[in-house]
Amino acid sequence: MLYAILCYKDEDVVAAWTEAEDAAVMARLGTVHERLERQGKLGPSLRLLPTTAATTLRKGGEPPLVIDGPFAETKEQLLGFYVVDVADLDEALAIARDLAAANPGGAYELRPVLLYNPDPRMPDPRKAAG
Amino acid sequence: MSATDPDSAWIAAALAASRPRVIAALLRAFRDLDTAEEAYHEAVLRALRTWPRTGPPRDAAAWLILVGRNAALDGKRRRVRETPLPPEEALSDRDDAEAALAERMDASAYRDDILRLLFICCHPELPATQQIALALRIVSGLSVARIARAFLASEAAMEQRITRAKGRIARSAVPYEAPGPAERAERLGTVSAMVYLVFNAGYSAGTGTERAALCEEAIRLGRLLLRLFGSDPEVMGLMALMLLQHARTPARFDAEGAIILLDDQDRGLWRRPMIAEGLALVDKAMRHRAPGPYQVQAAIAALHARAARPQETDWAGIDALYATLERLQPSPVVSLNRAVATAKIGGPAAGLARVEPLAKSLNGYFHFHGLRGALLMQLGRDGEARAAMGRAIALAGTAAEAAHIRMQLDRLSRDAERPWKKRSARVSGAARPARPWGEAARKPGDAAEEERTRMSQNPETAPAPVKGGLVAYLTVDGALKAAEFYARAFGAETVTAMPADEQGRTMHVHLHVNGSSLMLSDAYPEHGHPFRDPQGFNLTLMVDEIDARYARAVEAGATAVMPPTEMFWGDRYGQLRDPFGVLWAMNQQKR
Repeated sequence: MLYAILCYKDEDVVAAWTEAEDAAVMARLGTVHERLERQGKLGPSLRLLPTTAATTLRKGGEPPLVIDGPFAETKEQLLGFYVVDVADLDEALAIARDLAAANPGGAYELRPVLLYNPDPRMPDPRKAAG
Repeated sequence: MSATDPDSAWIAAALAASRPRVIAALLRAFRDLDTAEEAYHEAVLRALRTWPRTGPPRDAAAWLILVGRNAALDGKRRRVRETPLPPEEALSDRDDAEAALAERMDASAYRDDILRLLFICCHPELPATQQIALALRIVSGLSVARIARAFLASEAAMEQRITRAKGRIARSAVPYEAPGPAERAERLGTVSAMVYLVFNAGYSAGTGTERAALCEEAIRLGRLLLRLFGSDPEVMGLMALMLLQHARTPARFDAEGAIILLDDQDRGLWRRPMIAEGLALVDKAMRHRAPGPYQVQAAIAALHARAARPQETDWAGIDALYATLERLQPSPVVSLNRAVATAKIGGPAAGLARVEPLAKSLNGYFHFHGLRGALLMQLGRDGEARAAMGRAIALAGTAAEAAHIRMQLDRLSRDAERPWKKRSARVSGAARPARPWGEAARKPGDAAEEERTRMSQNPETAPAPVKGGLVAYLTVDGALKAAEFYARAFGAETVTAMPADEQGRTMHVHLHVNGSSLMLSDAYPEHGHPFRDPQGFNLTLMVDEIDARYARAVEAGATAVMPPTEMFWGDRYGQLRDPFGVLWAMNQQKR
């Protein structure tokens, strides 16, 4: 079962981290990532630039409207996501709890994945393993 | 609690992130900077007591505003009659008052509060130095000691500067009502300029720590502006410009703290995430088709950032961007910057053609003469080149500027040996990013490195290595003869020497002596550098085998002043004077 773990956090707080604090958080997360990777549970994961770098295309009108900034102004912003391969929701939650311990504050949204298209430029690890 | 302790780091980060909003809102409530600051500090004290127990509030800024306001009112009330408000411990995550306040404090309310706060800090009646100090103190919350260190001022002087600025603001009429759209745009321009001043103060600050602190504060203020004015292309440009310049920081200085030229920087050390963010913002800004000075400067920085190697720099693009900047913000300095790019693509003659018309307005500007001299030298017009270099050295405002020109002379004397053709610009149209605004663009934001880069036209030549963080630079009568003598007496090696003029004088010689650099030049009275007898110092060589070294120097022609002797501090030490009047010492340390 694939789950997407969407990472929400106040990006102002993340921006207030010093370089050392940022590195410390990344190092703690790195420990969790390594374990998941060894267990074969970690799929692609991304960290996004701040929403100030975002552009939104509103599809309602014709032509679609291009707006500077994120889709929604929220207190906490989508800053990245993981895809994990787990047996069930409980296991996904356990992973989210480990990530939360390494990087407190904010929220993780767990969303089951309906369709997963691996990066066509990369060999599909599942096929290679099979 | 350590800064990297995950259980407590969130408190520090939440406080730092919410500070400008909270101070701004408290300022609106109390209309007085000192009261707002006191109320903020009270709120922070209470947060440090309460948050570790209750966990993070839903909206840290709203919590602090509410508590700070209550605390200040409580203080007033207490002074009137002893009836306190309910304690903030009663405020829970879902407290109605906090929720209600958070609702009211929507983006636009925050925006006007913060803009007002920043605008007050850069009140037009305040000199720039006071504006910066006040913004760093009030908005960023840096300690007075920290700000004083950054500006090499004493803490007392900085405290006074800030107090004076506050007093001036208190006495003048400060607009507290929400600004109209036109006024808001005007304020935003003033505030952007102040933020960039903070950044530049950091960019040129003396030590690495202070540099980082000020640049990071400016970037944080820039982020704040960008969050509030997310569709203003100039704010995007300002942010991109700061990110792209700050990204180079790890490559800008060598182990001794000396500046490394843009062409010589190890581009692998540049901070990629910052560059990615800066490039994304430049792209976004360009979509608006409303170029402004920050955007154009950012676009120039972006072209440097996109070049994996200096030789891949899109100088044609940079030249075009400078042309745009000449239109947007006409200034002879911008035109001078453009001449560098022009020389890179069209050769020294084309560059010189842009430089010459600036003679009238830039006659007193040392970079003008430095660049002109460099271009003349490449064209083989040595006599004129030397005169221009002499002017540049005479005009150097600081020792650093003078040293900088001399370093360039070091390089130029090497570059001059190569015909320009061999290193013709390798700018190709391939993989060049889309040119933003038709023809061209930009201004002098990148002054620091580009000024330095511009004098050297040959990126493939390594600069002569300067040894040591403190280099003695002697003005002697007969610099080339002195160099010969130092070779015989002290084993000096000549790294570079500018050729002699008709009178046998040279503007620059660079030696390595005993593991350090030593630089020499002749006196040029006609450029305001007359010869003076050297006195009041000696050049001390730390040596082993002092007796042999001393004997060799005397044999070469130095006059013994004090033969090597065991001194009261335990070392063996001696002094001698060279034929040019310079006093030398040798010291052999006790083992």
